[in-house]
Amino acid sequence: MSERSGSRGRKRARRTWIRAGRAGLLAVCLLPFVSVPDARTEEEGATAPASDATSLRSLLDPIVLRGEIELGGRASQGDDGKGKLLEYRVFDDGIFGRVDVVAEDAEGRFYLRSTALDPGYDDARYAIEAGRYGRYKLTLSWAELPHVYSSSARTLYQRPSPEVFRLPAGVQTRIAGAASPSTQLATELLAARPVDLGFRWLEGAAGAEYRVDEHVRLFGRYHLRDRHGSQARAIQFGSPGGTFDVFAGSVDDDTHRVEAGIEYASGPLVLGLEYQGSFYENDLRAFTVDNPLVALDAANAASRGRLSADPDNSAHTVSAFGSVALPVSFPARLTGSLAYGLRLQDDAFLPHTINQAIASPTLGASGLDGMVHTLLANVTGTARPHPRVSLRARYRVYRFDDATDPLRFPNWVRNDDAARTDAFRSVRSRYTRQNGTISGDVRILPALKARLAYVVEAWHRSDDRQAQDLVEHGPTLDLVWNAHPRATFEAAYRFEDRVGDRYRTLAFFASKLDEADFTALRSSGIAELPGLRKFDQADRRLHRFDLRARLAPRDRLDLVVDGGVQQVAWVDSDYGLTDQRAWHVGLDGFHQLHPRVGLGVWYRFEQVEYDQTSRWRSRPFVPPIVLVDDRRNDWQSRNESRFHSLGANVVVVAIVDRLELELGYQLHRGVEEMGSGAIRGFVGTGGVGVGADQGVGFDYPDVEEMLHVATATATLRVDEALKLVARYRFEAFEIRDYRTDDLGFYLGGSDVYLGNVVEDYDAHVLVLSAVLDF
Amino acid sequence: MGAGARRVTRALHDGTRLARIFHRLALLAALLLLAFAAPTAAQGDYVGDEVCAGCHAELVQAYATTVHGRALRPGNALGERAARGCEACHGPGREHLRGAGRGDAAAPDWIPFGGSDVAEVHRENEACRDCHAGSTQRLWPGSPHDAQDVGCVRCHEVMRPVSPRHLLSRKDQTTLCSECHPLPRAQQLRNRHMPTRPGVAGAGGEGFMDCGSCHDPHGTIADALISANTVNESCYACHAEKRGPFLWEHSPVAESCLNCHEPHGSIRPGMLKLPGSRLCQTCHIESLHPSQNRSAGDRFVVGQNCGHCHSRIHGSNHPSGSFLTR
Repeated sequence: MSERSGSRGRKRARRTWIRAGRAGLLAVCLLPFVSVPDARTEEEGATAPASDATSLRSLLDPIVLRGEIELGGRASQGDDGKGKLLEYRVFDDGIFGRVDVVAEDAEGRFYLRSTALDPGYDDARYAIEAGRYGRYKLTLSWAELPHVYSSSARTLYQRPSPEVFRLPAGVQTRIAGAASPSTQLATELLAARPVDLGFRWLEGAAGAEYRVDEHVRLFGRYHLRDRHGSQARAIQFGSPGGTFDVFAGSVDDDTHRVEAGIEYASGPLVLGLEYQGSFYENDLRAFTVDNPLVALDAANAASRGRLSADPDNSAHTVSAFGSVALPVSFPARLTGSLAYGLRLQDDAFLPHTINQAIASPTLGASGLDGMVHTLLANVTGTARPHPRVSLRARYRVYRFDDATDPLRFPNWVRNDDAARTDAFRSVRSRYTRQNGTISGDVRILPALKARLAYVVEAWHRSDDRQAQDLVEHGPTLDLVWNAHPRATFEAAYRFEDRVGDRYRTLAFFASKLDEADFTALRSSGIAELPGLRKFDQADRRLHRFDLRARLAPRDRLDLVVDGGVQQVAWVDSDYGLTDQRAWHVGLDGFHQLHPRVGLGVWYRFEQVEYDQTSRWRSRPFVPPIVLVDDRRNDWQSRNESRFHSLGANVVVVAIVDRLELELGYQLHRGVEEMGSGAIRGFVGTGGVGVGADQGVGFDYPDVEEMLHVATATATLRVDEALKLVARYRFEAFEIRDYRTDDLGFYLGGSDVYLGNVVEDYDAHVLVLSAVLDF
Repeated sequence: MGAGARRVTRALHDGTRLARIFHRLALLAALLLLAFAAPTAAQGDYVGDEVCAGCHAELVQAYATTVHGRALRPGNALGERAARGCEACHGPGREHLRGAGRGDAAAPDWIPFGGSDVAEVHRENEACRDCHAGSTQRLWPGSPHDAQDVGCVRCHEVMRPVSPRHLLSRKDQTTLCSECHPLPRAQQLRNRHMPTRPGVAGAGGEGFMDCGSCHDPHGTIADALISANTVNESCYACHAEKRGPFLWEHSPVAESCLNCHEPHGSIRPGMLKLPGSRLCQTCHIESLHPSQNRSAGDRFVVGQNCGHCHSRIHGSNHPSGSFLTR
């Protein structure tokens, strides 16, 4: 049993230290402004060698300060309580500040740089870097990020502890005893209370880098990421397709990362050795959630369910690197690296069920004792045997080996409400991925360059995957034509053909089930449709074509026009993804209209389409279980997304060295269409299979989003040191998403939602500040 | 005795072959020495920063406050070359004083920077790599940007501060990278996106992440210049809770997050490539509960769709969670 309760105490202590550290960091940011009387004698200051101890003291006095301090106020008006506006930002009314100051000794050897952005707010960032130029440095940083999902959620659940979600007293009894439980549920949900969905993301880091000499560098870094808050989670009750409840699940975890290494770089030779460790700690072990529809545990119904949380895990990676210039008469280099990784996870298992009416089966193992080995090797050779020719060859192999012992569970409990005796084995996957590329650049003519490359990628997967061996390969061709000093044209074409060996649709089930159970499943046909091809393992062909033109039709006018098209066909996939098409076109331009007026514009359009084929396969859930597998129930879906984005920016120097204005505008519009249709036009009448909509296609309403951002900045330079800045920002966001717009916390039936939607907003933000530049 | 051993034994007894072997080894050693022995400019060809400031006073003054201006000077710099100030990068100034210009064959060591000729670009890059051969630049040779003949000074402005960090030639990474890679700039305007939109925090910008949070433009081992060993390891830097290993795995999740997600921005919840139910139906056509078309308000389409029940979609550690519902 992991020491969760003890870790909470450590977590509180850690948060206290974090708060103290944050305050201290802010104080240290002001350190450059501390002036200490020079206690050295003239002789010490004049003749003493620059030892670090005396030099550190010399850092304090006399100090040379330079940088910027910005201080002002911020006011916002509008829907500034809406989640989407505040997803990653804070717009609280109040003081606004920014600091970027460097303190150096008079000789410019030692420095202390302090930066602070929006200090004191939930999106504040602080950083300190101190050291000696070219020799060593220490860094400290702290950043806070709000991550708001929604401010429209509501929940009936109470949370007496971060892991427990309980309905108010009597709710379950009233619903379970009601003549119409769904109607009673709707009544009970009227008492749901607002709950914010989101968490705070805190990051702290400390690092050091030291140059032993001009060739050797030592470095080390520690990084902490802390999250706490809530996010939408869901838990199912009952049989497949049964009811589910969405609740505001807690988030409370840390990730610690440690890096250390040594590097030698001298002319033709570079060597390096590095260790990285990552440690994930979750203060939560599980979420216990009341089932609104059941008041008392029974052998086929659970009054509550327990959903597992992410387990603690760790990862260790040791890397070695080497690069050497080859002893030939032209530039040539060989580079290689080797990285070994180890991932571990051994959290204690939860019991099979929290349902007290079901005897929880014996676990058989206390934990997973999970272990994954990874090995990455890479060799790259480059050569430029002739000024017009350059060659590259690269080979990379990555092996992922889940060496965890498979565990077999002969008995388990489905969704806390049904004891099961069909045994399952935990499937452990392995794969090796090899990549090889050879390429050559040739300057055919002074103005024309061609690159030809051949790329090969080979996968070998363990036998629990459908296609064990896959090879994808193909050529790429790039042409660059400098047609004119003011015009460059580029074209690129890429082709890839992926072919696999025999595709075994039921491979995963063969690994997961006992042999007798697998034979029975295969005979029943209930498992995966035989003609399905998973897109990551299916044969496919890819064509991609890109064009770009860089033009400077006149002085101070630069244009880039580009576009591309990609088509992917999953050639042997009767079911699953069958085709993908994507294209984009764009324009970027900058024009210095006048020495004091610059204009930039950009536009981009992108469209992506996916085609997929599927089948409605009906079967009853009570014996006799007969699968209805009818081709007439096939359907197709085309998912199409279109995006228009544009931006414009104009900078006007209204008064030289005095007043500068900058105006900006960005517009983004996106549309997603999800259309479906029956392939063979069959409209069921209930005579075949079960259900009323077998094979019937349905076109869903479009999802549309639009974002407008308008900005204006005026900078008035009062004198050499002082400038006044006014920043105005207007944002408007709209979204129409049928999947969430009318999503109350109850849609009828027995499911419970949070009702969290992404809301439209518009907001005005004004920041007025003074900037001291020194 | 194996065939290889037999060959070695024969060679040892064959004096002529042995001599030939030693001759080739000696030749290789000589070539190595030649490769490592780079020709150096004479001491008198360096003129000092004061001479440079005589004509380029404003430039030198702005440069003096930069990281390079501080680091590449006597007392700070490590190594003789690095301590030469302006000439650490530009080469010996004597040639420039004699009137040498860009691409002047008579001044092979003089590097004015900003050249457009491919050969000049690579020569400039090698000048930068004399100091910056390690760290994030160690995989530059053969990297996509090197292959595209991109010069270091195309993206970096060394002579004066433009960006707050990394000596970029534009005010932020999005502005810089989008000059050649415009699509992600548009994609990050979509509804579901990571906190990458540039701008000043507190005044409308997000800026918590930028292109460099996931990509290293100097060259990497992984595809698409992802700075970790694999795409997934890059994602696990922020989303370590998805790393596992789990008792019940979802195999395509463990292979690549990009099987399901669009990292630059998406119109769909969870930054998915396809709408929720449709995405799952590209790989699953089982019959435990028939996956099919439904009406607009259907419970399997709205909200989190399949994720309402299969909420542990990235993997489950619950002993009864084989269907990722616990």
